[in-house]
Amino acid sequence: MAASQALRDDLPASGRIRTELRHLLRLGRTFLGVGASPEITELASAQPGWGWLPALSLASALALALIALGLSPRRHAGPSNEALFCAGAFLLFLPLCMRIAWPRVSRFERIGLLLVAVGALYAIKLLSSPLGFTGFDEFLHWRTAEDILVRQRLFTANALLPISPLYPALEIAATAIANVTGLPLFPSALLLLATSRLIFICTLFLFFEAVTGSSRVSAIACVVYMGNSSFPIFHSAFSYESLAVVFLILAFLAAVSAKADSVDSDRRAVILAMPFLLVLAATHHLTAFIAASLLALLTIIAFLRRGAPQRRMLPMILIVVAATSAWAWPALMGNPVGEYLLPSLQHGLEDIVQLLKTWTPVRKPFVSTDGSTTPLWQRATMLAALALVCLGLAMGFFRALDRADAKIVRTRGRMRISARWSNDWLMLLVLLTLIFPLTILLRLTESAWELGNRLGPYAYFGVAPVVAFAVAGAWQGRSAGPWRAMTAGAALGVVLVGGLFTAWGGPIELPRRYRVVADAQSVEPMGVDAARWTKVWLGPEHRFVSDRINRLLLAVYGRQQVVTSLQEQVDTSRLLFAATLGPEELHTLKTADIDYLLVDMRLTQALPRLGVYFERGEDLQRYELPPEPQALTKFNAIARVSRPFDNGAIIIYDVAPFARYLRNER
Amino acid sequence: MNARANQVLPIALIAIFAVIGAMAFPSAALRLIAGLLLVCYLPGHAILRVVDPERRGDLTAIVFAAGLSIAMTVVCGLVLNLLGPLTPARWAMALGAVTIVARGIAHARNRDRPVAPPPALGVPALRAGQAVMLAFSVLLAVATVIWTRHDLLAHPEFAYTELWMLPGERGGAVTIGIRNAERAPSSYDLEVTLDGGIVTTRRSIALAVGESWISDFPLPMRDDEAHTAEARLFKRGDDRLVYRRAWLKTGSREP
Repeated sequence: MAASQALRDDLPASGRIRTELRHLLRLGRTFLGVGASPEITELASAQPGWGWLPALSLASALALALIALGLSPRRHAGPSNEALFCAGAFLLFLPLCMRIAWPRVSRFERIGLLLVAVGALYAIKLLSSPLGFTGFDEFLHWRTAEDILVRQRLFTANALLPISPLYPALEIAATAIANVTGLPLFPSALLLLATSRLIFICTLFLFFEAVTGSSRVSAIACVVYMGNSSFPIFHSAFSYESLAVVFLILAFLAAVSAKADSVDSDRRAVILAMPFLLVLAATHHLTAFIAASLLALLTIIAFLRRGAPQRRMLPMILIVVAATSAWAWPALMGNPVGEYLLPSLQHGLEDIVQLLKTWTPVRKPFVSTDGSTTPLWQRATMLAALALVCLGLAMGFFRALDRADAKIVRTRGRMRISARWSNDWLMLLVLLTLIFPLTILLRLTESAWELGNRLGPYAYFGVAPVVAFAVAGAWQGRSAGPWRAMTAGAALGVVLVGGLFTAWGGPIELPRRYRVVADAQSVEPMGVDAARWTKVWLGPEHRFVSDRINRLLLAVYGRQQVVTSLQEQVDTSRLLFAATLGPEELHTLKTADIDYLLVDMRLTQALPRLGVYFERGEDLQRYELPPEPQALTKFNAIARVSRPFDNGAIIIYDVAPFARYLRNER
Repeated sequence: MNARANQVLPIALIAIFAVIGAMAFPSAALRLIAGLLLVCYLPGHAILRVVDPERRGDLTAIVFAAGLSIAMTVVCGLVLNLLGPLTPARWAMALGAVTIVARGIAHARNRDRPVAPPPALGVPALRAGQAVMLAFSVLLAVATVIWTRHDLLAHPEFAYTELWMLPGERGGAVTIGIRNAERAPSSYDLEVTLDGGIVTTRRSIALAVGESWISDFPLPMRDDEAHTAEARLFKRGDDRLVYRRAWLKTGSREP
């Protein structure tokens, strides 16, 4: 050591700098895993056994009870509801993640632990809304499913989301369960979603295992995947993506399970993947397009790889099936996708250009539109999760390439990646990580954050195994000792809990209280009862005007026809919020064939948490203050307008005679 | 009966049992099991035997069977919609038919293949203590969900009273309803007016939590005249503050 120091001191300054740079470069290469010998990711597996699964299941159930206490509408003596919820989340997931990342655990136990984790995440979503669906997207599909059950027909128009009845796979499956079991729709849909979650995590595990060749890497990858913010709530919701992502991964598993040396196996893989790809086209437009795109990328990777030309046929056939079905279904349905998706994409691109020009996020992270801010400790958990994923990506990227046998060689002082690899699927997944930064960038925009949110889970198909290579290889290293395994497991736990907090979609405020236009936080029994009253006493299918939340309740619990600009290009917001009835409002009443207005006086208490009172795209600048109560009750003074219902907060006006009078007036 | 027929028959029988169960079982639990099998497993299991007869008994086979079942349910829904209404009986028969036909095709296609014994699922033996822990955790999770539902229903954020007024079935009558969704039993006074004049009042309408009171009131209203009938609700003990108001306007008065 001293001799080396002396030697360094003897070197001229330029030589010393060169030595330091070389040293740094070597450190960087070791950190990134460039050119390193492959690390052991799979230590000797334990004999198949239940291991800690029963004990951890029990611990998870106890932690779930703690979470339920946190979610209770009552305040408890002692720790706050938030503290109970968060303690429960960490107590639930940290031990599970530690055990999953532990080096010597049997495959059987790992699968069991993954099932416990996914079941627990699903239970948390269920505990937060055990009486009915509360997510905005869930109501849109709930109405479509109710239409199928009531009318016993598909493709009934849905004013809340006109494209929903045209992609009816989720609703068909849920109503099939309701029909053959005799259960109401809500529990039927819950059963379908629970089954889908279990199929998904098992399929994902098998897919990652087939691609990486390691059950440990695969299980860790599944945990990382569960940490993506769409997984805990959005992909457990009664929404078409939840089923679409299951079909996508089943198709991929069918394709990846084809054996390299068997043409017959290829044929079977194509036949097995085909039904999933075909049904995917009728399930969700974006996922169908993404499946086709990923298969196209796989085909390109297969073509670029040298050797084994017979292996190129499988992705080629699948891309033809996926692309044809993804194009043919919307064509059959009258091409509704363009007008639904293109405006969002256009606005999103404009926002990205703006972001790149100014480097100022249009959408402030951790701040809701009504100004409420996520507490520091929640932000810290979410940022720690993101930082750990980024660290894992940096350390896993070249290691994963190495596993795909992609040769990284130094040629004349320059790095180049040899166009040789042996694992097309792993190459595809590694390349998928490149869209991860884009999904983060999109979340900083006002219009395209939703797109970034939707693309996130697909980027995580690549992010998850790459991070898993870093965790199982570099983080764990060759050590079989408990501390490194526990640290790696704890890091995975933070990723999972951080994903859960992000999925919450805002500050975790418990006990949950009503907030103005905050989707799930605005759905409560008083609004539900008012909507039910309309069905019982007015009858279904009346044309109603109301705000964003009461529209959902009226459409589902009241089975009313709500007037939306999405369906009818009629802006009804001024009808409720204008101080007086002017020519514009009278014209709307006259032409939109409106029967009833439902006014929620709680809208006057605050600005909407989601930035809109009615629909996305409305003029946000218009509302610097909440509407005046007098504006909402202006129909009190209008002749021919009855007020058949009042519960103190919600008032219903019968405007049909008045609208009829206006139409007959010369 | 040969070995292959031995493999076909049980699945066919289960499918028939599930179809009958989904259509006719009086027990909700049995109907649930039969229905879930029909939608989430049996058709896919049979189709998988046609597509990939060698894939049996492992986790991959189970997820493919479940996934294919749900996919086939979607296809059945689309086809049934072309043929007629999506009724429970049609659903059960369609899914049962898919299962039995696919199983028959698998039997015919694989007739010449040697019959391999079904592979073991590979589930390790469970000790008594482990079984107790697993059972207890399932029970605890289910109890937690049930308690959460109960807790949410028992502690609503808003306490309120609904008042409504609608035209009655007979001409000139109105139907007035009150529903108590406060946190405690409440007593109300009701005042009904016609064109500003009090027509009738009801005192001390006592309602338990969740209870409703509905009554018809004949009012001297003529179809060819404009009228305003109003219901004013007061909380017992505070007859100066109108707690809820509802009204009906009829006739041809100018706006």
